[in-house]
Amino acid sequence: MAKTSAAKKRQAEYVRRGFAIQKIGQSVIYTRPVSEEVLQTIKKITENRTTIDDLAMKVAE
Amino acid sequence: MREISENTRSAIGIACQIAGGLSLAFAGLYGWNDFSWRTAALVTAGVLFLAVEPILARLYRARVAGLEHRDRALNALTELCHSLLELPKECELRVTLLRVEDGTDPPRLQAVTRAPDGRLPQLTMYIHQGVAGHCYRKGESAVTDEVKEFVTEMVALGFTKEQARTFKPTKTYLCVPVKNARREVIAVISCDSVLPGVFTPERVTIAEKLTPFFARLLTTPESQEVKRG
Repeated sequence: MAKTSAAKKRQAEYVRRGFAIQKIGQSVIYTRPVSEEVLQTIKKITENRTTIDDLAMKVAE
Repeated sequence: MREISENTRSAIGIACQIAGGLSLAFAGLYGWNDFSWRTAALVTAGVLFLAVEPILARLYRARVAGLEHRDRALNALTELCHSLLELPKECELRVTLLRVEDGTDPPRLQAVTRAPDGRLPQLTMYIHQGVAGHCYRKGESAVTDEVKEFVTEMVALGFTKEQARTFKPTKTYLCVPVKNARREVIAVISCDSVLPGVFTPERVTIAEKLTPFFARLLTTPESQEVKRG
């Protein structure tokens, strides 16, 4: 019972944070699009071809 | 740029050496009595043919070194992702980078690195299978919060019963797509844990924030895969 309520609480939190719920068979899968901020970062660092040093700095930050 | 396999490179090298040797032999034969333009052309061709093999070998060595450097960097990023998720040891968290390989129909998800043990899965996985396949097809981050009946649920996700039985039973999965600048999924970061409910929305965000760095390494032209053997 406690387990079910914990799972329900987590489900509510996923939904609140913008995840959609999908059922495949018995599996419940929560999905969410990758944020625009991440996609813009990808565009910036893959198209500007920043150096590996710059990349390491970003990871360190 | 089209890649050549190591075997093809060796075959080209041997053929060039034979051609170079024959050119020089004929140059010697013709030029013995009368040095002419034909002799000069054969000597030049011979030298050029003989130069091909060492040049190819040098280029190939440089490329393989570049790939090894890329693989080490991907491995370090996978380890970093493992650390940043900050899960307790009893979760037995594994982070696997699955690269999309378009050469097969359907495309497959090829394991490239795994943290923390580095042991890659034996099974070849395709884009219609598993949470990772779902993540690839939707192009979105995907979480299964709690797997209750492992084999049944894996079968529902596209694996055969036999395949599902070979996996380590885990309770939760998080898969995050790695996209390129054209927003195509080029890889999937797959995380699993033996305890349920650990991949909170905050942890999903952490994994997503690392994806640009994976994308950068996977799309660097000098680090694209060379077909070996």
